Amino acid sequence: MTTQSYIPITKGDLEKGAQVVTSALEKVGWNDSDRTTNQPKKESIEAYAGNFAHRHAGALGRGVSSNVNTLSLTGIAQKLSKNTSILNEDCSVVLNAILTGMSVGVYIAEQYYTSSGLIKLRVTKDSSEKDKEEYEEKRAAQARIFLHVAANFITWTLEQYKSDEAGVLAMTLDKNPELSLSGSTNSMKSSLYFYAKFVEQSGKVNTSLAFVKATLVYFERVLDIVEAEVSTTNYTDFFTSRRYKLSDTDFVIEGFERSSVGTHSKVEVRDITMDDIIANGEFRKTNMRQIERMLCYDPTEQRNPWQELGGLSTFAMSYGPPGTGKSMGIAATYNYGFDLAENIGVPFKMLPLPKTLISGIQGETAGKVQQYFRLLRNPSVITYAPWDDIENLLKDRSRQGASEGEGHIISGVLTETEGATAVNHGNYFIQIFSNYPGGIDAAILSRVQSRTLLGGPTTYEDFMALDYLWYKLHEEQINGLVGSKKPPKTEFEKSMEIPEFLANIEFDESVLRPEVLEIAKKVDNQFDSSDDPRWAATFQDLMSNQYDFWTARESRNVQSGIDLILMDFDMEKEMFENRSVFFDKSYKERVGILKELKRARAKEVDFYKIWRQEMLKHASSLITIKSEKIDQKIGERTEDMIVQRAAINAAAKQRPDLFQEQQ
Amino acid sequence: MMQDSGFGELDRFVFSDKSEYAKYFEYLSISFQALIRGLGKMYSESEIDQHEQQWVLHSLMSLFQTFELIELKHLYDKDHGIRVDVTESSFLHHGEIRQMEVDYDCLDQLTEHLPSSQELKEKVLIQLRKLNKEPIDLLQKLARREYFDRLDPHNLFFLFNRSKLHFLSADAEKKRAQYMLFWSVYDSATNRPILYSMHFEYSYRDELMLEQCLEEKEQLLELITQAGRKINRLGDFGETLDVELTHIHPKLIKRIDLGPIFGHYSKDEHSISQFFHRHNFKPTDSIIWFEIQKLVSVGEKKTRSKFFNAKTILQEFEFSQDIESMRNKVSDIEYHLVAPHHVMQYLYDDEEEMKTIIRKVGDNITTFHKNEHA
Repeated sequence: MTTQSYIPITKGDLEKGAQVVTSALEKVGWNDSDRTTNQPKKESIEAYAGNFAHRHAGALGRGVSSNVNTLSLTGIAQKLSKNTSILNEDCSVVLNAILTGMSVGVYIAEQYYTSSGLIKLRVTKDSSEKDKEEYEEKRAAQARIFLHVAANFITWTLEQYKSDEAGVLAMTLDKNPELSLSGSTNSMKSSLYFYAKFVEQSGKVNTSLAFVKATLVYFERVLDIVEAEVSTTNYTDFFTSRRYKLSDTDFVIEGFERSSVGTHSKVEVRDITMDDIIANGEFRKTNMRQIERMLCYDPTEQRNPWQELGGLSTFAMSYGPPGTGKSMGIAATYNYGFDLAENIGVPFKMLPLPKTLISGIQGETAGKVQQYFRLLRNPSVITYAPWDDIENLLKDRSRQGASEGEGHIISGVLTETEGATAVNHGNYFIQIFSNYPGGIDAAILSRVQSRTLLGGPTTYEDFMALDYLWYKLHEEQINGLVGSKKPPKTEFEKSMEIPEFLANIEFDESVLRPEVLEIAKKVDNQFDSSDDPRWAATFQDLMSNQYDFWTARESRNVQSGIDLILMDFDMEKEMFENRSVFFDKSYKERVGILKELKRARAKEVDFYKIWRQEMLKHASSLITIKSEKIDQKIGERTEDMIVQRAAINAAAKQRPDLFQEQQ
Repeated sequence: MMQDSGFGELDRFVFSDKSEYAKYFEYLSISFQALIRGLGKMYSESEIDQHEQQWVLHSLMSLFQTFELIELKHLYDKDHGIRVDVTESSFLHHGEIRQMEVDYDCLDQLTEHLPSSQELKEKVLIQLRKLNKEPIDLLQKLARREYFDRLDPHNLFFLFNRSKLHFLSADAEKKRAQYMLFWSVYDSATNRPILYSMHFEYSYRDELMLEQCLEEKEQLLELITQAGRKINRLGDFGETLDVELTHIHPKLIKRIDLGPIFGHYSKDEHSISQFFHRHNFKPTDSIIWFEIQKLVSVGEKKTRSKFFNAKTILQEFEFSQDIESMRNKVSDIEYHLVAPHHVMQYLYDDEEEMKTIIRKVGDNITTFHKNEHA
């Protein structure tokens, strides 16, 4: 990390920009039919001509007859505030954020204007193609810099302001704004114009809180747009090589880095349902259940009836080799929750861990982690937080070369998941996904309440089902493509089905680690596992003798796993279709209904059987994860030896003379 | 109703019943007393403040007197109902003041054929005794006569009013003198009185004081008369004045926008009006709002003119960078609120919107008990 200091931006620096922005907020005009997308060359000439006409029309005192539309943001804010002299809190914060953000943008763009040499470029019709190109490219870069800085400040400010409340509102931006890229002034005008248009004409902004939300949504989109184009933008070094800090705030500008977590633009998820996934029955079942249970959260009571019953996890892990359906699982889980939530009308959102969490700036990572958790714990929304490929972020802290930022993330996660202040009202669920759980920090691993293996398809039936899903579509369109040897669906249906009860999933002892089985056999000789609680205690005793990572927390985790199975029942489908059956009832009544369901199920469960199962499964997966490094090494070494032996054999075949001599 | 959403029927609302006007003017009278109370609170003992306070008080008295005269004129007038702006104002429509100005200009022609007030009074008495009922026509004439008799320009509030120059002090060494000048307008866009006060320094031109330097003085008064009527943003006005008049150095310009009065007669969608209608207050209760914008010069800088080789001294005005100050291009905006104590109690206890307003107003709240009016 370079220890370069920041260039301060003072209040005086913003003065000039502030005046321009104020008048634009008061009235912003834009030629709406303009096609100002990614064609900087053609468009800028038009814009230039437009500007020229404007300037001269102004001088001559007549208007230009073009389809320039004007909108007023202060007017909109006044209407929302119902007050002509004082804006209400929300509107005032929004407009001030835009004012300051854009003023900073203007200032930075101006810095770029001089430092990049744009100031010296004069383009006439005699200029060379190269000059013209450079001029246009620099103008586009200036525009993007302006947009990034302004949007970054605005989202940063508003996210600190009312992110939680605004998170409840669902709002999307249907169309990307047509931002102009010919210089910062045009980009300011166009971005403001389309923003005002979105606020005024989308019909979505009727309250001042919606105004906050709309602003967040819009400027996050602007950030997205700019971000997507950064890699193809030239001449940005003049901007990215410097670091700025706005005086009296914590706002820093470091190239095209975002300062906010950025969660208000709706996460776009692939259109995958639970039925599209083969095998992984346990994963599908537990996730569907978890989501259903989370949706029972009552935002007004701020609690979830499932917490009283048990059977709601906060921190779970899914692991498995690459290509076994982790990303599909995330998408399907979110879609499943989204549809149900829409049915019963509760706010539900997905909050993946942002990729930009680790920052080079001292202390900023911790801030970002805290901010992320604040969003996560927002008691007015139900949140699903999948953390994909977590082994990169939550690496073992003790290894060599661990950075300060990583340490912050881990300690942040630790305190936020089980610290004294980590209160879960039953409205959020973190699920971590990893290919390589062995690399994850040990403390984090011990926090995981339940682990599911994402094995992906492994059996004949699984692959049959996988193929079936693929050729089904073609078969529908081209009849007879697959031919008459099509196997009956019953043969592989089981792989596609989602099991009704977790206990119904067959327990296959052969996948367990031999070490565990050995210990289990020892205990079996002493006690009968089918009706003796001493079995479990003895097993744990032996485990802790042999492995020092087996602690009280592990036995607690086994217990909570069994809790989950004791709660091995689904809510009735009708509850999610008809609000009056369940969700409209009082909190107490709802708890009552769920308790009744629990009682009915508990009668059917073989308690000792699942106790043993869970114990073995947990021990086995723990040892797998812990000994992954050794296993990996053993695997490598074994492979080497096999190769060596095979090579000797092959060589002996080729040149028997050489080897015979030796013998 | 937004200021820029055009003018509507409610800007010149006419009451259907004559008796309603009596109630309305009582409401105005109480509100004016409250306004004076609120304004009085903010002045200190300093000379600048004292001058300004006098002007503000004088303006308010004149304005109220003007309203009363207009009421008098139409007291028995069946054809004309006084127009009242019930959207973010509660004051009279500016047309009524314009009419009074016309009346004043044509005073001689209009009173030519009107009998004197003494004559009319006698006639009224005779009629009353004879017919035992109110002689409306005569009373109307009498009201008009009285109205014309009382049109005294010193106590009237016209669409534009200006004070004389107030000399404060002079520094012979620096060749600078300090003055104050006041003016006021009845804003036709909002139908509200706006008072201006300017404290400025004058650097001697040809060793002359401003009173003696007629050209400079004329220019100043002319500029105030022209530009002072329609000030959009105080900062723009200050800068123009500073550039145009090289010997005048504005130090502090204040704009006191009086009103709106929120209460029984507010028919707009303003959040305070809505607050008022949510509660069951007396018809005479009101909340009076006024804003003071300030433009402060924090220093001076010398610049060289582009065209002439002369050095000019320009003021460095301070501009706050929040959206409300930036829009008006001012250094500071103060919001003031005056309300009876019991109304204020409800206001403190109201929705979030009102709390924002109270936060913004801060210490500038004046309350009084209802019996204090007596």
